[in-house]
Amino acid sequence: MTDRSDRDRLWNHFINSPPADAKNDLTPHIESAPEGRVYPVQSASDDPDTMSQTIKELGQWLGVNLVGIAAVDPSLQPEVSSEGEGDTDEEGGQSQQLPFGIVCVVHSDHDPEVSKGLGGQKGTQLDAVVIHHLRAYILELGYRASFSDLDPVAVAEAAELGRRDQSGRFIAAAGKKGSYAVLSHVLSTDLPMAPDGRLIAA
Amino acid sequence: MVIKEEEQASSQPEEQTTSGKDTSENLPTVLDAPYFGRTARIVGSWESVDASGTPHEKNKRGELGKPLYNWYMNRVADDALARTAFPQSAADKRNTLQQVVSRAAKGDVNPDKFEVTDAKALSKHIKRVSEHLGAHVVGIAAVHPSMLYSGSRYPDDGTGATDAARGIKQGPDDMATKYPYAICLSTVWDYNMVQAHRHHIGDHSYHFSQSRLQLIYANLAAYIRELGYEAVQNRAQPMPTALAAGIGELGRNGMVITEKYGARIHLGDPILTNMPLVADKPIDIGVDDFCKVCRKCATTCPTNSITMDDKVVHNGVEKYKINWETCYRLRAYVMEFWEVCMSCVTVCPYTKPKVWWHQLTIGTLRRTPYALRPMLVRGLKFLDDKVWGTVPRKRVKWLTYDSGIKPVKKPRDQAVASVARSNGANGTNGTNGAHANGASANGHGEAPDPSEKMGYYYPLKENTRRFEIMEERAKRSK
Repeated sequence: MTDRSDRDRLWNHFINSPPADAKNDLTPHIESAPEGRVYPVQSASDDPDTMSQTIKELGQWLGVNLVGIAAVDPSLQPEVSSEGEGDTDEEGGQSQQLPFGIVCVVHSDHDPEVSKGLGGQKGTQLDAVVIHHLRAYILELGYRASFSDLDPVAVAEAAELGRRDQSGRFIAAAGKKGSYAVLSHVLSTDLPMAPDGRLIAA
Repeated sequence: MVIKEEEQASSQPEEQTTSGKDTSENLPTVLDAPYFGRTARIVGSWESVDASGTPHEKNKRGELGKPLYNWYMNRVADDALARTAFPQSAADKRNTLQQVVSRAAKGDVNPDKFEVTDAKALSKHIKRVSEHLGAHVVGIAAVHPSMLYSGSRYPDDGTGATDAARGIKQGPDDMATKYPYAICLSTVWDYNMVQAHRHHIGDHSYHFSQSRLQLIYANLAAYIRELGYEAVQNRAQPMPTALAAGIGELGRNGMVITEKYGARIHLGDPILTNMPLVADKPIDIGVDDFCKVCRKCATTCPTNSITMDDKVVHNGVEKYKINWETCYRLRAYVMEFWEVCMSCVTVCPYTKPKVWWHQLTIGTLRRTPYALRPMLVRGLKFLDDKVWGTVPRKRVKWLTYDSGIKPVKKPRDQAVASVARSNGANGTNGTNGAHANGASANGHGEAPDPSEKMGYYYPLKENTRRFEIMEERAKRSK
């Protein structure tokens, strides 16, 4: 970690001091952005390996360091209405399960649990932005994708991106020395992909 | 604005645009005009630009014809990734990051203002913050009314609310007094992807850079408010602000050309602020000298929108003037295959990867006396043509896109059916590589040769001049 405090006395404020007005932090707004509609025409994805590779390359091009895809045990799969956001089963929509989980890992110089300033939360925001982009892309391919309640560390472990240490923190397998692995969100989807591993119910 | 009294009689009275060679020596000097560098200078009377007269605003009012209006208001991209990259191409704007960021509520200015003791240190801090947030080039300009729109950049934001209805009453002079500094950021388009100009690959590098920059600006504006200062957007013109802030110089192609990244940058919407900062100065990287000789962009432009001639004076500013209308009008006719041309950016000799020899060349050019620069520039232009080619045609592969495959033009009535039936033409990702970029069940482009290193680019110059050619033939036959 680069210590800039001596050279720039404001840097500590930028990294560590939480915003006085919560609206000046865009991350929660991105995380809670409403989901768009599923595109009515499905683009064929007859090659799951290619699709997995595309998702990973796109995520890395957008700025995250690692992207993992895990197949999720049926008992853990989240359900969404097939009619789209906000619709309920009472309106005739059928529930669908989302069998895959996508997780992104960002190597950050700052621990987002400690560095609550706008600068310290850069990794968390980047994770949210890339997951938003991936969700949007999958929706435009004609498949379902939603933020889910799955544990991102469990999904990342299942996707063989790293492991949990004794304190429960995630350590990325290909991590930068001294950096913190930030993974805050899981994207659940039914886009056919070739997973890196399987998330099994305990 | 003050003009020397003895030269007022010789200034251009009504016509705002004059052409001529080397006009700068004969034009009046404007005493209080800001310095934008050697590539653009205020030499006469000027008026603040009314944003409602800019191309997008004219188009939204239907003044540019039906095809362009439909292109702007009603298009939905065939390509899935393109539908997420830019709201105007989207089937559902909620699937674009720009829509999310633009709808974020702005936080309040922190009443606990951070008192500044050292404006220079604060300026350095703001730049460091901007780079940490993801900006590639950062500059600070001292605001002058000539850099500001007469009203808001978006006079009609689509809700029907105009500047007056939104209570925007302060003109450029008031704004410049209230917010004396402008922070200008830029993000960079991926160099390799930009080689696929006139292709979805180039489009994606452009649009995702644009959305990234919008987010960086939003974050920076929020941070400035957290420090207790105001941050206002939608009032500053990006180009003059960027020139004054030392981001780059104005090229013949009408783009700001930077030292490290050439013309492959986005400028976005500068932040006006009352934070006490130290302004940067315009830079000199030899663009003025190079553009006099090079003309690569002018010969490559598919719509002949870039002038081969010298600078003109337009609205009191001496600069190279492009024909925005012919450039803009192309979009409606190519949206099936690509959205953003960028040929003038790609072909510019300043647009190179960020490597040491490029830095060395720019540094050498900068240190060369003006009188010797034409000779140096001719040598550099010769080298550029020999090594990089007069027109870049490199084949680029990205994800499952391949710019070496000729896109297939679908008949209009089959367009929807083909999307439903086939794997999707024109690079809809989710297909395997052989079907990306045009090879659909309805017809194929030329079979791609994996060893071919040239990309495919539609020849457009001839098509866009076809009416002029018909007129010339008609005149000759008389």
